[in-house]
Amino acid sequence: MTGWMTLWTIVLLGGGLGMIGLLLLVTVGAVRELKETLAELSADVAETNDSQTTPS
Amino acid sequence: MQLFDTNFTSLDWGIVVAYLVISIFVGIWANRYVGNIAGYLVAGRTLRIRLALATMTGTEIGLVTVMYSAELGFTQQYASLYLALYELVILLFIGLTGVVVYKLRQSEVLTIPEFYEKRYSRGVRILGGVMMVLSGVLNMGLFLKAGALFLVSVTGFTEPDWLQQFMVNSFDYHEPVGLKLIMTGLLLLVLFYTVLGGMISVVITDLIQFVILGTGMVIVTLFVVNEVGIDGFTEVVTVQNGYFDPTNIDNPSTEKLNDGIGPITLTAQFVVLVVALMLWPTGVSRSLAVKTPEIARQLYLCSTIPFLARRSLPVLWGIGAFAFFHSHPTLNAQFQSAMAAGGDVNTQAAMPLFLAKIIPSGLLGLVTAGMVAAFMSTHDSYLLCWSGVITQDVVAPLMKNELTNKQRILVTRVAIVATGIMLLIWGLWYEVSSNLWQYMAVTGTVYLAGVFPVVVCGLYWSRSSPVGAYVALLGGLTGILALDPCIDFLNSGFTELGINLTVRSEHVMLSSFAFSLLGFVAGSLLFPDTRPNNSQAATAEGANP
Repeated sequence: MTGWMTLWTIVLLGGGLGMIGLLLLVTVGAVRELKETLAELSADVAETNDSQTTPS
Repeated sequence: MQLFDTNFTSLDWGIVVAYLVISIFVGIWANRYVGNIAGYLVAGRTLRIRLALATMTGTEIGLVTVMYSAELGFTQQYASLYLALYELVILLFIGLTGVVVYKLRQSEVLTIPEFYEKRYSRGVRILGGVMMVLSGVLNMGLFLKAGALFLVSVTGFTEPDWLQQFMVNSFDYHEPVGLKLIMTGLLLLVLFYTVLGGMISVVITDLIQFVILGTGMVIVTLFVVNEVGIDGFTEVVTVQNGYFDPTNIDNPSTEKLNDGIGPITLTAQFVVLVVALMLWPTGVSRSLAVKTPEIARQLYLCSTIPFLARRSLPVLWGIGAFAFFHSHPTLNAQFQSAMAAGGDVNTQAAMPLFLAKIIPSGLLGLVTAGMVAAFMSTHDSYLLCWSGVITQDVVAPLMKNELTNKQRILVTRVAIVATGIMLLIWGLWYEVSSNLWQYMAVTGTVYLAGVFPVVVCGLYWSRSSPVGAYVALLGGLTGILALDPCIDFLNSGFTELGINLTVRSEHVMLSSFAFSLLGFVAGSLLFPDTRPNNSQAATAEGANP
């Protein structure tokens, strides 16, 4: 029993502490990444609109 | 204290509604960034690692995941953590080696069926798309039900008398209807912002949902540990006969024989999880949306943590519920009699009923908003994924790829609505009597058994052929036989014939995987791909990771 319960305790601790770490990691840099992504998508939208209005 | 007592108040409803309103505005705002089909389906492949991780976590921690994990924690206690361990090991392997996912991203496809056409033929793509949507929509069949059960249990919701009277007088409908209407409203909300904004609105809302959901999960865990205490968690095993050894087929916390996990279930679940983590379409769509194949590999490696959390923390809540009910005999008796009476209360309800009593008002609203976020982030991504497959892999190939970008986005939007309506009919109004996780594993097998040989062999075995792919994809249909009604039918047939044999779902699931794999190999060897240079094309696509 001790072996199994030690394993499950490690799994549970890993899940809990990992989630806290992940929250910190993602929230620190995700907003900056989101801004970069939106800027690139805006450029794509402009490009798509240009290609639709410019006769080939 | 009564079974349905809850700390959920008007303040909590306010928090949940505020969250939903913000989601609507995000959907409207994100629409300005949709320019073409790649922007709509995979956010123009612009995602960096943190954003991809947030959105993948938002998708993969669904309310249904929380519900079935907590249910397993309540019924199988610590032993059910073997699934968390499996996911940890498998994701570490994929993340460290990049096996399959690296080459898939490198192939520049938008969806897995697109890979089928590139590697095999257009017919394989269409069949693969149909199989994927069939399995995926069936798999979502119980999502709404599980979400409904959570909300009812945690809020103590009962429909108002006037609504009940209205349904009886107008439609002669006597069943409870209020919650079904709430869930319909939630689904409509998801449809609204998914149809409008596509992947980019999904990414933005997933980011918000990730923060709310992650915070909610941490809060719940702290309250559960505080309520039960370390001694309480120990007593689950030492006093309350809790189940901790998954290799033992007998679950000591129940009186039934062979009611536990055991070697066959361990094997079947391992196979299902290996293929699902590698090739489940919603996960793959995230790895196809990132900037580079290397980020796709990193994404899997970083996903080990959220995947471990999604499997382990709700299990802890379920174990907490088990300990709580066993230390409150009156409540436990009420719970057992409510389950025996039928209706909506079953073992899935144990965790939300427990949380409703231990988390204070205000925080309970935040936690519920987190769970609604989990519900919505899974639904939006799944809807976008299946409808993307319908557009790109079924409709467009049938139309000889003559659809413009705008037409493709329109078809995708129509497919989202159509899929949503099918889900509503199947999941909300149709009664499914199967066990939650078992149902999901079985419906997943219909797709997973076929996709495994077709993609993996297609990437790494030059003799793979379209005939082998057809046989493997259709072979996945045998997975339907693992559903409980089919298993009952098979076993009663054996009994009538005097055959002393008991078939379990896991036997059929493993047979489906074996049948598809062998069928693929036999079909490929007997009917080789005769197209010039074609069979080597995809396997040679870039270097091995």
